[in-house]
Amino acid sequence: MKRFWVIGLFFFSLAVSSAFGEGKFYVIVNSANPLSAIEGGELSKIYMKKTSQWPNGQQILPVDQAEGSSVRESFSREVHGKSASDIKAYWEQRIFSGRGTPPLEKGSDGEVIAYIKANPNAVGYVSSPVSEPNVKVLKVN
Amino acid sequence: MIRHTRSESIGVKTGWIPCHLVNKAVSVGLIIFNLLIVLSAAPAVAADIDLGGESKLTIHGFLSQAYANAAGGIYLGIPQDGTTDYRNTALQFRYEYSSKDAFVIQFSEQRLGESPVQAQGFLGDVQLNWVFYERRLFDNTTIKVGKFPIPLGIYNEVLHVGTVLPFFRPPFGFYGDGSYTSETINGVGLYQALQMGESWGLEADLYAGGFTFIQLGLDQNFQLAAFPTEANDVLGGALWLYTPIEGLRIGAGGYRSTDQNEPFPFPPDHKITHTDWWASLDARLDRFLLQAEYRWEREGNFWTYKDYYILGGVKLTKELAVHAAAEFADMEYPGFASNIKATKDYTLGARYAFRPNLIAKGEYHLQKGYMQDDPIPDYLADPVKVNYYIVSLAVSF
Repeated sequence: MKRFWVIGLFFFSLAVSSAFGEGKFYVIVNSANPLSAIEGGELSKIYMKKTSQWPNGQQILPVDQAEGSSVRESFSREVHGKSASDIKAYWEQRIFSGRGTPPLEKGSDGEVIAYIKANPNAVGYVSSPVSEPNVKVLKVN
Repeated sequence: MIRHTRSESIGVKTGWIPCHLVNKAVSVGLIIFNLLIVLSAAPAVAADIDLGGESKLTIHGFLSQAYANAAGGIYLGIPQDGTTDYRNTALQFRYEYSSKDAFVIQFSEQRLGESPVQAQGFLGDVQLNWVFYERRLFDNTTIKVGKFPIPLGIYNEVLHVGTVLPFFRPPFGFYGDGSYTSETINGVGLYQALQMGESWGLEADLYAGGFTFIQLGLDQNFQLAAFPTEANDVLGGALWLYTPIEGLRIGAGGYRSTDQNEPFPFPPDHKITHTDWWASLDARLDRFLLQAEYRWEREGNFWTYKDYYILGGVKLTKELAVHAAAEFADMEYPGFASNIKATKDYTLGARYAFRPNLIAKGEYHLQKGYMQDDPIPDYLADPVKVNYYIVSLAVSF
């Protein structure tokens, strides 16, 4: 029995000691979007495609960063509370059970910004502050 | 759908929902579906949106290729001298032609080594795996019609997708593979997700229709044969409760069907009612995986099958995880004084993720029971012990 508890404590300590990458990300939308802030939970639902419409009824177009990028890992950890690979596994399950597809992926901050500029209903995130016309940063509560 | 057919007597139909009511339910479901399509057609056109200039067609696929080797007999098509003719692959096309409408088609190929199901041509080459039209009625409500995956337990909808499975396949006694199972149903399905407060959620599926599955049994010449059995008037559902503990969900569901064309001793036109219930616990925590499922099936008054398993895993590093599972299945047959221990399977495996969609796995199974596929087991004899291992590589995109 003692051995059981030792093994249990070992695995528990492994779990709580997992390192979380503390990276920065900035959530951006087209400047035509009337929102100025968004709840973290709502943002998670948008990226998990559990919420598909903005409050004005327009279709949300979430755009993700490339797989393996540090900004995507930070976003996943802080918004979803899971690693990017866990989120990837979630989408694998959704895709291959025929229940949906993940958000569109773009390869860099520049590509995400270009997509946001071109699509008034899009939402994305980038690794550094943005000061571009037609794009604004949303505060995440 | 595990159905074991070593039979001694023919049961009496004791379905808990009379067939005519199920037929009626299916018809009503189809009528409601048609009405919804008609009623929502105009808004669909109006709501059609620009998807940001991106393609509305997405293509996904997976391949899980294995080498498998058994000791003690052929089990799940795995021979004693090993086989590389062991594979699952699929290619899926999804066309979302509006924000609410999608058309999905998936082709697949499965190879099961020396399984009699494969030898008799039932797995074929590339087959139409799914084809369905899906309509999003509201934000979290969808309806689909066509041939689509059956929501049953944790894994039935992703039965062969190696990149999401801890082992090469989900626990065999619960899910089956090749025979005694159907991944899909021809019919109509309704899905609803509900958010309950800040941290609870519910997902519900209802489905109706029919499917065909393969059974192994004796033909009129008492030779081993594979029988394509029809499950008609299927009516079923699944519920998943998402808890405030991130990654923990609890599920339950079931279905009933009227089965026809079963092996000896059933005559070809004999119909029998099948009922099936399951319950699941699925915990996918940051480093740990814990899953447990229970399934109960009954074929008329004839046989009862019970299966349960527990599966655990821990991520040792970001790439490497180890998993262990124990599965037990019992059958009750008329004429047998005690339950038949259909299978006991203890599994230990390791999974290495080069990337989330490129995964190598190795697993070893200690199996004892009566579920080997060739020859047909003799329940009066001692259970057969077959140990086997599978080494596989899974990739998806």
